[in-house]
Amino acid sequence: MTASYAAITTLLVSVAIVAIALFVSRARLPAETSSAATSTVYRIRSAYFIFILVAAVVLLALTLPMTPYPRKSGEQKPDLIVKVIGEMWSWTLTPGSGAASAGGNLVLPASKTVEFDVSSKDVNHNFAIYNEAGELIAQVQAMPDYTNRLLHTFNVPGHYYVLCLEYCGVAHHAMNFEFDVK
Amino acid sequence: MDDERYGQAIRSVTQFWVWTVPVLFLVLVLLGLTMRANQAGIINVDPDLFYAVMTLHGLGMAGTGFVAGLAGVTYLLARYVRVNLVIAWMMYVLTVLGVVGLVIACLIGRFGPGWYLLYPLPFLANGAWPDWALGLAVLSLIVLGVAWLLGQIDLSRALVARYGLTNALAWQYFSKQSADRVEIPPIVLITAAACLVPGIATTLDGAVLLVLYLFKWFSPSLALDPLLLKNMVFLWGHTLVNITMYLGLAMVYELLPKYSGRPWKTNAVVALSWNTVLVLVLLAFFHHLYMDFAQPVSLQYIGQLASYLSAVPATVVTVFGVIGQVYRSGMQWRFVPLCFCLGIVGWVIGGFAAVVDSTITVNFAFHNTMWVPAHFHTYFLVGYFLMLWGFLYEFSGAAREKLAKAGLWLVVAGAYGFLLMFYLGGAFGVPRRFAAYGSIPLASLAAISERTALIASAFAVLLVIGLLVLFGVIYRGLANRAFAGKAAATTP
Repeated sequence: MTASYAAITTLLVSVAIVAIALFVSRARLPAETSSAATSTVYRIRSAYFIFILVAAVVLLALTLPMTPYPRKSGEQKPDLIVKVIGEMWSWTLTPGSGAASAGGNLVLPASKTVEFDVSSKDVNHNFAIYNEAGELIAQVQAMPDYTNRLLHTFNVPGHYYVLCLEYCGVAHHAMNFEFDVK
Repeated sequence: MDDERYGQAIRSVTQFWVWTVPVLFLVLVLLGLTMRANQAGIINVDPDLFYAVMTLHGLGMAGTGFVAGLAGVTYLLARYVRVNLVIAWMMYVLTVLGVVGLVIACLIGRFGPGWYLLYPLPFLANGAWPDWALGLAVLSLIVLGVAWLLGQIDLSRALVARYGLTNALAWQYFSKQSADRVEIPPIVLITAAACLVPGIATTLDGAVLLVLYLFKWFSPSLALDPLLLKNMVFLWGHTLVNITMYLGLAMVYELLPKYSGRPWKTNAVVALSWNTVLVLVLLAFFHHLYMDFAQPVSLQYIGQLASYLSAVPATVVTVFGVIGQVYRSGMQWRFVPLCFCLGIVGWVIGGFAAVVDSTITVNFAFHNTMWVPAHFHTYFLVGYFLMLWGFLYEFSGAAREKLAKAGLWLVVAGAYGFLLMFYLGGAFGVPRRFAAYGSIPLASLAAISERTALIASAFAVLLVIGLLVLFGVIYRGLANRAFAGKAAATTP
């Protein structure tokens, strides 16, 4: 959803940029002296300056509270902790109590908060979770010597896929894992 | 040395760059096309070669862009300051040596950890590249770093010697009355703001990083901190690419008034804007580490804040400056201003896509998807490099306007089609830096990945044809001028 909104916004703004460029560059407009044109441009620039500053402040205020980082205070307690280790070129997921296994597949509970404690045994990897529709729903880096905590609640049961999204060597593109949520 | 002899001497050095850069760029574009064609399944390249090509493409494009900008700006600044010619030549020779070393390391040694050499991957190749390739690559990068550091230090020295440090940064515009001021051309201010602090600081940061890698190469048991090194590599890479952009803008500030017939001078707003950029450019790189949750959260916030705020001076001053140059100026749309203005449009579109991705919550969906190459290819391929082609054309003295414009429109059409596939890929969550998509277990994701790569490959062919036309015109202009120069020299 976020990706779609961001992509559509970028498309609309790009079209607006091209439209403005076409308007400004129209050769048919009668020529003006430099000072007359400058005064028009400066007037618009002052309004734009206020607009972009306000827009930046509003967007910062709206988006910064929505970051995916675990909060130190008032943080929701995870229902299940899963230890994740990336290693050239496979993933090992070791769940604590609360997870199940079906046909050799890891099964995580739906509508519960899962904490993935993600690290790496060798190089940098990226633990990226895709749903069945192919949407990237959560991700975090797997870095040696560090543990990154990713909290996620799977609201939709189904089959999920893990791809590596940090380049990690010649078989990077084949570093996958699959699990179910029920 | 008198002004005329200095002018001829700096022109000789620049001429070498102008002959070299298009060839390098074209080869690097062909490497890019090779990658997209492999992802589309049109050709079959072994993964170790694919990733070596990816590494060479990334390092090569970033390096070529930066050094070409530095050389171009140094040439244009000859009206105002003189650089040391020995250092200028040394920069060319060392760059050629470094490039040869990297080509051998990547294409023969299959050195392929990506442009960013993310620690500790270069040292854990799992047999993909030999130890000598790692050593050669690190040494070649050190040679390049030394060359570019020397170039930037000498250029900064020349600016400070002529104008003084604070004047070069246009601080006098904040306090002195106009009668007491030394006029600072915008190209001087931008070069000083880009090279003096961020350029030298980040090149030194890169040097420290590479020397640490060299130590690690000598002594494999040496343990380094992966998070610290990740910060260092992005401070270096991100800032270098941004400075490259500014060097392109410096060329536009200097040359566009020649075509518009309108002056473009430094004033307090322009001075404030570029001095703000000087600080912000050093802080925005944190947005590369948003998905490293172990990084202090305050630094993540600084990354988003700096990325957002850097859009303010860029658009308020430079974009409106260009509009002020063009709007109702009656300017003829010759090849050079056309390149510059299309370049500004590409820079703004790519910049907006970058700001979108610099929002932490958006990055959670876009990080390391095709959205990332989408935005930086936009502000490079149809942003900075279009500005550079404008400068190269101007320098070459070429006079085939119609043919050059035809080449330019082919480049623009090919490039935007190519870029659109990156953006679509990003919106659909297609991973970047994948040699092939066959092993993706999600059929729908694999299909969209391959289809976008296929269409991108077709557009890239169009881009290559356009570049061949464009570079043909520039080379012909250079050759004609060289021939005319020789004829003049031999005419009694």
